[in-house]
Amino acid sequence: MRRFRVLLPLLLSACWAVVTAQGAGPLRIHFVDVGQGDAVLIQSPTGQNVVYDAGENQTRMRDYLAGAGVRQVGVAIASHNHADHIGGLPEVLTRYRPAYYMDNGIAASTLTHARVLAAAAAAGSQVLEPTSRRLSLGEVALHVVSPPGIADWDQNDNSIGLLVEYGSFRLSMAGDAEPREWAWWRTHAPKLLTDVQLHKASHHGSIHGDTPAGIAALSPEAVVVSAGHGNLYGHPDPAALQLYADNGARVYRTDVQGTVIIEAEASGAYTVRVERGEGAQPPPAAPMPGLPPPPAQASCVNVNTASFVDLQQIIHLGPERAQQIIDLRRLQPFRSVNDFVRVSGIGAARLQDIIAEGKACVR
Amino acid sequence: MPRYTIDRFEGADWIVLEDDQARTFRIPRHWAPVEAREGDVLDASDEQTAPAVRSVRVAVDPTGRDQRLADAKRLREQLPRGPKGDLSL
Repeated sequence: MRRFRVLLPLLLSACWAVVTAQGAGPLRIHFVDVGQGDAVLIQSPTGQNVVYDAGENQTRMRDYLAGAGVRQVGVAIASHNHADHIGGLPEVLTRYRPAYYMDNGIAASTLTHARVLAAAAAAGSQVLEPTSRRLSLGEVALHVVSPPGIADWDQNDNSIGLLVEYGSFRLSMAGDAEPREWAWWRTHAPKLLTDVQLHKASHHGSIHGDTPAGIAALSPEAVVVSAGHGNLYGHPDPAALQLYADNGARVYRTDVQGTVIIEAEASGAYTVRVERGEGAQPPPAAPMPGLPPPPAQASCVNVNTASFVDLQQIIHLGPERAQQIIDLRRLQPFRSVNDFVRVSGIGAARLQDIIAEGKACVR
Repeated sequence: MPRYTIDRFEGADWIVLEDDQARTFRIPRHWAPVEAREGDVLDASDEQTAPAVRSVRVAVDPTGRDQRLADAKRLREQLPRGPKGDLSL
């Protein structure tokens, strides 16, 4: 029996190797719930991994990759250089040292962007220019939809688009592209942005993201919205959700359903797994043996001492409520997280969100 | 003097700022100068304007954005170049 226990993992490993060598597994695309931001992992049937954005939190995407058993990342792509897309990239670059790093070529003035570039340099990653090109992962093709590269336009309208193609299956992602970039693509990349099964909502489902013409051209069966639970920006916007509904697309939302995983076959068939809510299933990937455990979570935000800036890391806390907490704790320190109900606008539902997030603490 | 960089505008109502430790937070759009644009570096200072009132003054650093952009471009130019055209991974 003991011998069986030892042999079984070896046999399973051998089976896995056979399956992957034949390319028989599905293409997996993980829309990782990183709060407000975008973070996508593309896993080819032959075991290659590409990261397209890594959210804002410095460690959440890195830890997700480790938990999913990812051992290597071939390319790390920053759709554009806003913090909610690249804040987690330095840790991904540092841990996985991908051979290639791609960004939109439009510099940002933030320290976050500088950290990404420094991490890419330390990792020895070669920079790929965001020209129209095909990145092949075996039978999976990633078609780069080139951004305009106009420095006077903001980062959103210089997003790198990506069309993922595996046999008859097609999925489109456009970073935070807004109507100006969508119009530019309609002129410069009209053949790429046509019928897809799935589409990642542009700009987190903002009213300034996807356009009626763009969605009509893509005609997606389903749209995945990557947004943070309780975000202050109103993402996804009801008008965007109506646009998807008007085009007959089902909507999956990371703010409601957690991480969303697509498993696609070359035939074009695909399944959708969600982390929470109706039809929730556990993610299929399991941690691989031999990987170090993910690092412990960063320390919590102590409500009685945290700065005005740090308090806003907690869900439902914007500048007004952060200032209110600072005023309230001067009068009387918070005794527990439940004391959040002293703050104007924090009721039972929002308190539940704050507790579930686990970021706030009282010391 | 605290300095903040405008990471982005979110709709008409919010600005996301980055502090000098690369931490982000949001402020209402109307707290920033009307001429502020994405990437601008803001200098903030506060002063006592009345016996019980401290006022915060926020101004755009006219050269901060361009200096930071030049630094970022230099960093990117120092990265090793990858191949052009289609690529098999």
